[in-house]
Amino acid sequence: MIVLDSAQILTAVGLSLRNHVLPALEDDFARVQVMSALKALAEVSDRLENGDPAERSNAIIEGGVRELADSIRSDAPDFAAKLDAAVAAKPEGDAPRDRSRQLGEALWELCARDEGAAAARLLALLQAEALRTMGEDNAWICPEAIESLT
Amino acid sequence: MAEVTAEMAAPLEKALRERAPRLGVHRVLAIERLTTGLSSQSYSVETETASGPLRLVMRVEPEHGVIPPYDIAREYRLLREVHEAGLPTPGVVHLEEDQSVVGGRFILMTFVEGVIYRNMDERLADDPARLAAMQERFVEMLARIHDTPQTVLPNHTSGEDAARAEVAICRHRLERTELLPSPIIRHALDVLHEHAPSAQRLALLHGDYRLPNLMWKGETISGVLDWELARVGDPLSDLAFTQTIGRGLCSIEGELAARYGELTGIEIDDRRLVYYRLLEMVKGTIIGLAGAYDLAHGGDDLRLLSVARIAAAGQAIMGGLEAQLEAFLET
Repeated sequence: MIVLDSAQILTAVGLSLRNHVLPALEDDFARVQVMSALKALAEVSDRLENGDPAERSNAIIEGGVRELADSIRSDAPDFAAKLDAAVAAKPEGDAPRDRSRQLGEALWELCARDEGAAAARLLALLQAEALRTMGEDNAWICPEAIESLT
Repeated sequence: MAEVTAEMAAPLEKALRERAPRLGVHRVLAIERLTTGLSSQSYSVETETASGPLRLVMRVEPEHGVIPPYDIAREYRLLREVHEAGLPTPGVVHLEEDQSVVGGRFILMTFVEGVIYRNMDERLADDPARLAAMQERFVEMLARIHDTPQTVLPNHTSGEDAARAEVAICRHRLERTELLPSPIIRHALDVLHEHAPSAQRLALLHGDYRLPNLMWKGETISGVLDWELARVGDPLSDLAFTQTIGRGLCSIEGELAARYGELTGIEIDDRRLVYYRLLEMVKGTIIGLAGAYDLAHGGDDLRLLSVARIAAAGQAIMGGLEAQLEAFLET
């Protein structure tokens, strides 16, 4: 059946859960599972439309690392070269998370072995990216799920 | 009875008749899953006994979960000790080691009557006088916990030793559950290991001391629940928890921290508090992110998706906490 695209199928599943399943559930635990599932479906739909957030994050980190390398090349050429190498290295697989894993390990090696100002700037860059993804992630948090736990 | 729990009733009834005859359970009438709790699964169990109805709470060691390794037998022994020491905790009545009964080892506890409030509960936020009285009880109870002797949990020789042991546990959990490498968390763990502080004294820590883990009757605490993160360490660690992961209307800071100091004689040392705020944030982040690992390895509690998202945000503020700690170290 090829007439519906993936986003349309997900939307229909979400509507079915919301309109037919959720109202029939009395068990609080089951209800919060369905509400969480609805958020997850919405997120997957968003990924289909706007791309994988891991890919966006990788691109931002790569850009930041390149910029950092250029800015320290004259003062700390060795560290700059290591940054270049971390970005140039290829991951074992093709998936965005393979790249995230390779980049994360390579950059951690640099942070762990160097206590200098450039390493601190590298960590700050990663923290800034964590802050940005936090903003994106907030949209997919199910408040009822958190409320049920706290 | 929900279907998922109905199938537990017969084997539970049989196990209790055979291995806990002193409870006198004739029938298990109902089992209802309680939704609170991130880790062990808890159920309300209604039974019929020779002396009438008896309501119990069953905590089941999870097959999957975010705070491995689990040891519900240790929790059982600790709960028994602190209950006997006079803390208002549920009385534990049975430890079942046979995992086949309900799908995991479990403990049975007496049901504690009381009301649970959320960290930012509107019922308290709108009633300042009541809140003030409950904040006082909250601080007093933590001081009591910190003064309670126990022999179940491993002891430490110093504050540094206790802090580093906790950092090592965090590192181990991270190694087991890290789906993608996090240089931010790894760096924070290195900082915490390097700058572990001494302690004025060591004490039993609850480890998860926040409003939702307490039961109240009026303005009195009727139950202190969820001891699975209990350990021995610097009491300021529990205060730091109330200021970070457990933050809410009863955060122990300012006047409440001063009151805690009066009750215990423990100095409210800002440098150690900054250290433990970072440790609690790192610990909470690792536990939360383990929710994603759990889902990727057969877990089916979708609430963990939201927990992992909130935990991931913890990385965004670790840098600020590290900077605060470094500023103290430089002075």
